[in-house]
Amino acid sequence: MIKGKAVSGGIAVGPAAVWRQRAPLADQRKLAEAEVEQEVARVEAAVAAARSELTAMREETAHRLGEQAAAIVDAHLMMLDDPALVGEAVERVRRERLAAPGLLAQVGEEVAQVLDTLEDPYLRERAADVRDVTGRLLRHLTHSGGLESVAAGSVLVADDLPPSELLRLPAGHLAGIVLSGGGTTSHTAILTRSMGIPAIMGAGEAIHQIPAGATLAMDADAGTVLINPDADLLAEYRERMAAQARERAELAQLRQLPAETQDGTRVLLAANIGSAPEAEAAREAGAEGVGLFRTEFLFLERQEPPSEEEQYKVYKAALEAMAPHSVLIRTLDIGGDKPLPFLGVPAEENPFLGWRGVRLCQGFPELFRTQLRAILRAAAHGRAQMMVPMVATRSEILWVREQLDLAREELKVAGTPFGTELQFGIMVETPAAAVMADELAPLVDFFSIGTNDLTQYTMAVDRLNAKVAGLYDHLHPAVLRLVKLVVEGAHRHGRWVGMCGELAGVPLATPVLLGLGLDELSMSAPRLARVKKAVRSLDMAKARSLAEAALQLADGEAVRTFLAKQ
Amino acid sequence: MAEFQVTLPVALHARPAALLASAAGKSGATVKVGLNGRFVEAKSLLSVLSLGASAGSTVTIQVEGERAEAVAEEIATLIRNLA
Repeated sequence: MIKGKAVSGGIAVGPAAVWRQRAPLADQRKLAEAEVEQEVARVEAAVAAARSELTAMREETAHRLGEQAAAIVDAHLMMLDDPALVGEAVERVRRERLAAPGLLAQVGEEVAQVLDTLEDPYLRERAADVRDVTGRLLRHLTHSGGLESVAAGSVLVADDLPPSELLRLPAGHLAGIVLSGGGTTSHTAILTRSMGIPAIMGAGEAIHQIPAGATLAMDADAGTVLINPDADLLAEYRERMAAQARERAELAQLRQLPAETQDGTRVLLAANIGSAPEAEAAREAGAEGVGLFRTEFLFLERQEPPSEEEQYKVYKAALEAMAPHSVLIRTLDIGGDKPLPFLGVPAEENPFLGWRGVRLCQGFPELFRTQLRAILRAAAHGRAQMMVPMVATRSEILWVREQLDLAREELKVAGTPFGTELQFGIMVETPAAAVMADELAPLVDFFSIGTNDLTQYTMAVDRLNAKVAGLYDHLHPAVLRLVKLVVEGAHRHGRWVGMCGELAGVPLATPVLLGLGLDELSMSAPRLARVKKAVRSLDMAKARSLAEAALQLADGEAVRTFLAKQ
Repeated sequence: MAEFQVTLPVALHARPAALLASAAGKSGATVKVGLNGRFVEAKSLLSVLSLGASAGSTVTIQVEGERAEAVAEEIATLIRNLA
């Protein structure tokens, strides 16, 4: 069994297709039996690609330069079929069991050299043609490195998989992906999630032991891969795969339907994203907006802060991708736990209770206003909203509004156009803000409840501390009662309330959240379908009474049990 | 097997070689062309080119297969018409 990080969930069963993106010319590794034919298939694919390319070129050449010139391309085309070149290379792949590129290069050079030695100068020129065709084949061979020849239904096993390669495959082609490297937040990881391909990454060197063609059973939720499991185990995996496929089909149908309760109440279901390209996937998943656009990625892992222009382009892209829906951009939410080299934030004893979010921004007003200006400018291109994290008290909100006014002034002076309809809100994640929601509501257009941090602060628990993590429960009535306070405070002043914490994506909690009066739920895209299903099966009167009852229970366990019974 | 010799009216460079290779490939027979005892598959353009047969040289054509005689006739005609 091989273990790795579960990057994109699901069960997958299929033959292992071992893949190397760029086989180095000097690849001396002997191929396994099963790999040899795969290698031959790669050569054939390269020949086909070269043929299309040359055929198109022939047409063009004939038009521009006439038949005689086109005849040269004809000769190249014939060389593709010449047994002395490709045929010989393929024979050597089968005989010597080495990778094709090196052998093809060798054969090409041998043939060219024979022509080099001939008397006739015209014939010697043909050596150049041979080298040309060989080069063309090699480019196709090492570039389109074989993903096209990977059989449908295979589990791809590789060290790495560039997003551009993955994107070339038709949807549903691969059963699964297992990589030795790669992180859960890499672009490839994100793609596997949006494409719905079960994927495990970071499996390490162990994957090199997987024989090509071996039957792999992947549990991409658990992060495990079994090699050649026995018949019983295999049957079990296949059954689970079928069940998942049925569920996916059911959920896919939901995409077309509105997020409406039985009695016709509409709820806004939105997506949380951490980069502009994810807006596309969010849309695909049926999101009717972005309820949280995390902007930290723009600031992390670099030596200087992102410019106003750079930020503006990113926010604009997200807004355009989601039009006509809204995008809620959260200003920089960072602190002592993720240091930014250009800020020089000192390490802290308690980073989660420390200098972070809006507090940190108050120490760097220039940086903050640059982000605000970028957001204001982007707001001209769509329905933009912005919110500030970690607010604990009124003065912080007033400071932000002041900065917003200053930012608008700065843009006016520079003659730069900006949006005038930007909605302004705050994240409610500190108990102080939750309890004072009634007082804070008049200062904003909306609230968005960040239940992750709100739960940590309310239960006084560090989620990452194994000793106490069990106390963290966002379904604890303490948290739910605070949610109720926030919603009441906001609605009393005619403001709307959304939720962007994990709780928003928990279908079990949907009746309670709607019953408490939330106007919007924002979650990671894959969760949308299940939550929509929950919304559509609710009746608001029932939801309200469920919510009231849940708030009277003793703890999260009780709430869960109660909700599960409904 | 059918075999004959022919004097080349032109050198077996790109176009003539291509015509020969094409005809050999389409014939369905196994066609070999040899110069000074060295024989190569006629359907392989590159192999034919590698012979370096110049104008006036004498090459040997060997044809094996069902229609050997007929194919040999066709190839002979083709070469004569290269001029």
